[in-house]
Amino acid sequence: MSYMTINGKKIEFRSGETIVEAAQKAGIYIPTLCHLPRSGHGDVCRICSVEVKGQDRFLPACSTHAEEGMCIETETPALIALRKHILTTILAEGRHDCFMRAIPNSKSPYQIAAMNMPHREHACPSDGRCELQTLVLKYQIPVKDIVPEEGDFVLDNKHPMITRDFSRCIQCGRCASACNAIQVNEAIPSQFGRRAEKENWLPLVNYDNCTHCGECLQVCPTGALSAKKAYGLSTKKDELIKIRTTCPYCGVGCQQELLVKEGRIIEVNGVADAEPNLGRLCVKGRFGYDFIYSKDRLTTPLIRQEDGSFKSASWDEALELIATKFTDTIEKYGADSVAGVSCSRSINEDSYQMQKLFRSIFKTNNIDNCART
Amino acid sequence: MSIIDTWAGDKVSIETKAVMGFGGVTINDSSVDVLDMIRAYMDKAAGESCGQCFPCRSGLKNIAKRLNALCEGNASDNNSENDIEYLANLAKVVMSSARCDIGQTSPKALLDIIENAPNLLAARKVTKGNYTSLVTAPCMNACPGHVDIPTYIENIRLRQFDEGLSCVMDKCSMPGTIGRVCERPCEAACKRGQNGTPIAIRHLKRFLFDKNTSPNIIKTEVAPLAKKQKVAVVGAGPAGLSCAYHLSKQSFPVTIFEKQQRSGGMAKYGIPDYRLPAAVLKKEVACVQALGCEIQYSVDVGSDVSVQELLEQKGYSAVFIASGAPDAPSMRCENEQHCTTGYISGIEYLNEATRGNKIIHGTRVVVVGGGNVAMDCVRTALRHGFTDVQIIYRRTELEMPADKLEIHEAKLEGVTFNFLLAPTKIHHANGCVTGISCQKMELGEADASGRRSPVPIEGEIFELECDVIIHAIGQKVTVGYILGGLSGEGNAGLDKYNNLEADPFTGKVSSFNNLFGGGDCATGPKTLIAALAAGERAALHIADYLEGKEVSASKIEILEHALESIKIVDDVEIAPPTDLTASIPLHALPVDERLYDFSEVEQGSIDAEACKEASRCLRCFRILMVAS
Amino acid sequence: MTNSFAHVRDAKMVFLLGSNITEAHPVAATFLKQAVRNGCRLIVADPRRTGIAKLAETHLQLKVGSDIALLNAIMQVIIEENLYDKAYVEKNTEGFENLKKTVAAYTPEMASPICGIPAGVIAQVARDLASVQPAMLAYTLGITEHTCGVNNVFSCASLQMLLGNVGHPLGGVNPLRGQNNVQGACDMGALPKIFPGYEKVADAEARKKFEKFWNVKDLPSKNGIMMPDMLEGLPTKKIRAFYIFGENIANTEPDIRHIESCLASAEFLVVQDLFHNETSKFAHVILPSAAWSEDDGTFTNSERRVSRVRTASKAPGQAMPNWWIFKELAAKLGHNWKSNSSQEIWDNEVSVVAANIAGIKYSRLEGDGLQWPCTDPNHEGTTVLHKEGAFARGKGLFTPAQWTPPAEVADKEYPFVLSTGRRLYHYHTRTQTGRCEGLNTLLPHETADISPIDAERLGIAQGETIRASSRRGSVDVIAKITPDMPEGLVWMAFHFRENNANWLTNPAFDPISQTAEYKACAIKIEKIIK
Repeated sequence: MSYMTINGKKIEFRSGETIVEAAQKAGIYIPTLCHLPRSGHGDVCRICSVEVKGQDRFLPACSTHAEEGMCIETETPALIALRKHILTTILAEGRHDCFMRAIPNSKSPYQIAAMNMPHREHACPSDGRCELQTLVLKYQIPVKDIVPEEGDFVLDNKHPMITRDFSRCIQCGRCASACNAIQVNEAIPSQFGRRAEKENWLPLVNYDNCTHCGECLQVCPTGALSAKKAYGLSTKKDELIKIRTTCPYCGVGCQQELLVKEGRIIEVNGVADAEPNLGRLCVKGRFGYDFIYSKDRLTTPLIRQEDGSFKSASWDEALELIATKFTDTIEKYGADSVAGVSCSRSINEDSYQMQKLFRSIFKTNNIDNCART
Repeated sequence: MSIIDTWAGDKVSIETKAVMGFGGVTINDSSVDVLDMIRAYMDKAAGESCGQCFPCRSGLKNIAKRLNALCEGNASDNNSENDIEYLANLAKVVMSSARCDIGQTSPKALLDIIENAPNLLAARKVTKGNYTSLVTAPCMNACPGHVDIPTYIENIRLRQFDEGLSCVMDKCSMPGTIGRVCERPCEAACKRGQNGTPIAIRHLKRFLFDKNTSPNIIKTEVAPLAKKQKVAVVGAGPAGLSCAYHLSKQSFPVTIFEKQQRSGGMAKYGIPDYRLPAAVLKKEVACVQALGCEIQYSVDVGSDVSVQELLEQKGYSAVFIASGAPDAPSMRCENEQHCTTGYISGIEYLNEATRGNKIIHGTRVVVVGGGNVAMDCVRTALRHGFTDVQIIYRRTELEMPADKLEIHEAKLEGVTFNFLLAPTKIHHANGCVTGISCQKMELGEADASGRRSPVPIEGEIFELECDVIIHAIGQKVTVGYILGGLSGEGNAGLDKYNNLEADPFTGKVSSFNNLFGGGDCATGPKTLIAALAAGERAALHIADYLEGKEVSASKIEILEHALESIKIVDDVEIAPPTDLTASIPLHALPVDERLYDFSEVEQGSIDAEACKEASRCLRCFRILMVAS
Repeated sequence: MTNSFAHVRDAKMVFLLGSNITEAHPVAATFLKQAVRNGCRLIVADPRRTGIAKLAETHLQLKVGSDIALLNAIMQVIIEENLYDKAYVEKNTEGFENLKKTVAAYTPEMASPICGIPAGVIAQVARDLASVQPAMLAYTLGITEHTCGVNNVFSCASLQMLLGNVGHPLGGVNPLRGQNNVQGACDMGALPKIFPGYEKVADAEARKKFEKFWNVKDLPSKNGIMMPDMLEGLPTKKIRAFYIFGENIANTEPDIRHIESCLASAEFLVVQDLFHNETSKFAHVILPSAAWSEDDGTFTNSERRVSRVRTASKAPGQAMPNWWIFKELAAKLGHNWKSNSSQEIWDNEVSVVAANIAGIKYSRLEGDGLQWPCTDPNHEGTTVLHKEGAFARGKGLFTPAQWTPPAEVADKEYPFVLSTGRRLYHYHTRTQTGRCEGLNTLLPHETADISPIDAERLGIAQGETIRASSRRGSVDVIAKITPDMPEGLVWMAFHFRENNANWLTNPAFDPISQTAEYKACAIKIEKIIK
């Protein structure tokens, strides 16, 4: 183990850890904004700048490795001033209207239109979950004094599930990194290294490569990328509940975090660092959940009539009918005249119950599941 | 802070009215409008900002914006002092927190002005001046070809491999070769090296080349051969190929006349396959040919056809001579002239070896010399089955000019190194080498080159038995016969060493309009990258000549050259913290698998390794602007 | 999977067969793509130039159904050139001589015309595979959905044992399961021959154990029948009451016309599902069940990892959890089952009676779950099966197989081979994904993927609706011309009812697993003349 000092406190770290990682383990908070640990992306926003003794410049804590004997300060007046400066510039560059509603011309036309949509108190679907907003509050940025810079903003609404409102984009590069380094789709070009041809780099999507996995949506720290399915739901006042569960589609078994408001899922994200998916999801895992709210859902047991139509029935009625029919059949034709197929998409406990029913009560092994399709 | 104000390279000195750069500001002439110039400088800096890190992206943009307002005569609240305070604050923020040196160094010029002469920044309408600016970096500055190294390394970091390769190929037409055998002055200049291992710049270039598997790696929009005037190039070595490549890219029809049967010159016939596989050169040559360049082999310009004929009868509008330094000087020791068997030059040995011929026989070989050619000879000899392979060098390992990596590999493979020995006499039986006598040396005073010269130790001579002696102590230029009749009696076009007298910038051969030259034949034996650079520069100026423009060094070229003699990294700069990211692992063929054939020893890297290595780059870009 | 997804990330070499991983297991594919970037060598065997095949060092674009010929030829080269892991084979396996004898005839030259791959490439792949140890082998339904599916699997296992790759991290034989809980449903004993925990129903001891545990008498000893036989049993009246829980059989089984006639002849059919679907039309009773996220429970993924599923919202109307429905039905039949929640079922029954998961309790599943075998409360789970070549059965048995062609091959009348599978944006018969906003926009209709050469020959334009017919049926479908398809092959999915591939597929089954040959049947395609 090696030791370093942060804000006068001696802390332990393992070789190879960054300053942020070491600080986090020691319970010391260093703000980050662009940093995306899973992809190694960072070193862009400089919000995590810290003072390192012996260095004439601030160093980014997210991408500087901890060193034996390093002496670090994380909240000096100069650093706070720097963070305030950076946050102020970010606010001025974009249209972060959660703070700036009082300031004329601080909204993009898209946002104004969006704010007029029903169900909305705020235009920004990330309100309350926005990492920029959190920092702006933490550092008490005097938002009223900010003069928004002029500029047109791009809106990309082509994606069926994601809105890209670049008036809220802070160009942190997380989405590009998620697309390239995590999902390996290479659909969002990285920021160029120098001599950018365009005035502003924007994480525009090459939809030919896009697999619509929404990893970019998951990592966006602001409301620049927002889920269309959450429109009108995410800004509800109700408390946001996070529930961990397992994806119902393929056999990988990705771990999901459901964001739930008022008993309804508003977004699905991958659980960071969880096995087996390490926070990743695919298009179905992320966006394929709203079938549960479909109007087509069966809500009562149904029994077929003589004429072929179905009539609603009570559970008692329906189960009674099944019990009678199965018992009669078995009595007349033997236990092996009945059969059942269990569901390989439902939970283990359901399959267990069904095979128990067939074996222990119907006394047949004619039980299978749909494993072969 | 130190200020660059004397501009003296070994070939030019330039006078400037004012300089703004990463070290601060110098004003030599009161006619320079400092406000306008700092505006231009910060505009340039803002334009160069990559836009990734927030402080530099917005900071430089806002500095430039405010300076532009001042230049329009608009002070905020009619008080320039507010502006100056604003600018000073912003400059400090950017310098203290930017990710790379664009942000960390360029506001220094502004701060210098604010500290010393803030009154010069008072708002007023200015007349815009003309300035020359240059973006460089320690590695770029050290590279004779001024390849934009940090940019292609950033391309690798961002996995933009095609863009990276095309960035390299803007300046360097043989990335696969250079990526393997360059002497890499860039790495010696790398700031990471101050406090650890420098970035593996050469290896990353090779990575880019290897990564590209398309049959034709260059994508060009120009129509090949669209222009009328033809250019002849003498010699298909690095300088010749480079010149042809860059001329072809500008649509000039080019014909290369090559004495040998293959292209590549010294890269082909002087570097063994285990360091530079033939396929690499083949691909690079194919690249030049794909641009429309024609190569005629087995044509010895000077004997089969004269330069004069090319110009006057064959319809070439200009000739570029790049005949290299293909001969070996003698060792000047006793019995040299009597040995017919077992005594050859390194150049001849490698020349035959690269053609697949083994022209020496026996088990024991002594190689005299300490450069890369000597290393190539010993390692080739091992692969030719010699079991006792020795090197004789008259100084110590420290002074050896060969690449450290080469020395290391040679030792690994089993070469014996003998230092502080100088050959005096060859022993022979009927012209067959049997051994060599050596004088033991010690190091004396430092000579002009700064290296301590070896001095003989009286009476200490001993003999080494061997079957073959290879002398690898240098190369010689023979360019006179190529000029032939053109040269006349007065040796026009040749300098006092009988090298081609070509302008170091333009390549123009003195006293001729349409004759250009470059590479080893003009400079004496130098590095491969220097030859490529000479070819590239000459191509630009040949194009100028053909288009009727004046042929002279551009301001940027002069500035670039002037900077070469200046250390770009200031001594007071604090090195970054130790970089814990391990440097790229170099994969080499295991020693026991190497010596059976000429398979390439150094192996390529995988994406992840290259990207990780690229992420270690500090991007030490610096911007310089002069008013002249 | 003998191994874990985590091993894919660090793999040194992966041999992927019959797996369109970027579409069927997209998240696993991200790990594989990353591994390739990090230097993992990848060999892909697939008739189509799939997304992952494009990243492979070698893409073996083999003919549909020629896997055994390919694998045998690879093994022939490995044995012939002495490249196999002799120590491993000697110590950990049996039946090597038998394998050697069988594959001896499969020289690359002999296999080449069967597979449509040059002999030199086959030999090179054999040498490549032998050059890296351990190498991982993974496959999906491209291997199993054949009449020779089981033999395909045997051949994959033989290759990996031959190379000494089974029982090591970064090695193994890894079937990527198609559905989230196929593994779990099998573990739970929803199979005709086994109890929960893989004890055989034919085993008297096992029956006794379960009789005691369930407090019943006379558990049946006769193996049950598998689903294809159940369906065939409906018209013959061998099966008279049929209970379908959560499967849209009318769309997922081969030869829809025939399947529907079977379902229509059912005397009594119960369907328990979320929605009305093509199968529920034939039901006599339909029971509404709770969906994913409306109930607590567990899934077991491909790598044998048991993970928790949790409730986010209540099921609509009277829809109820499936376990509850079975419990209530049992109650109607006079059995009072005690467990009254998923957790009680798992903790008090499943994990008590199934030995391989005995150490897994809900309290241990709060984080990343556990991979079985996990036999006691302190067991940390198992990431690699057959560790160090110690096979579950003792020694690994080589089961050599002869190549057999698909049951139906292209001929003059039906000159194309149809192969089927899943696409990225939908899942199975779209009962769920078809009701998710956006997914239908991304993939609004089925296509028949064909090669440019075939398209040109037949004068078919991109996006043109064509007719695809087999001996069993005919569908009109939009043509998608893509160079990723080889000549003579048509590829379709079964997501959409109207042009479902299963109108065409052949109900020929593997004799052991009774998996249908979804991957190969003969069809013709033609322009529609109006």
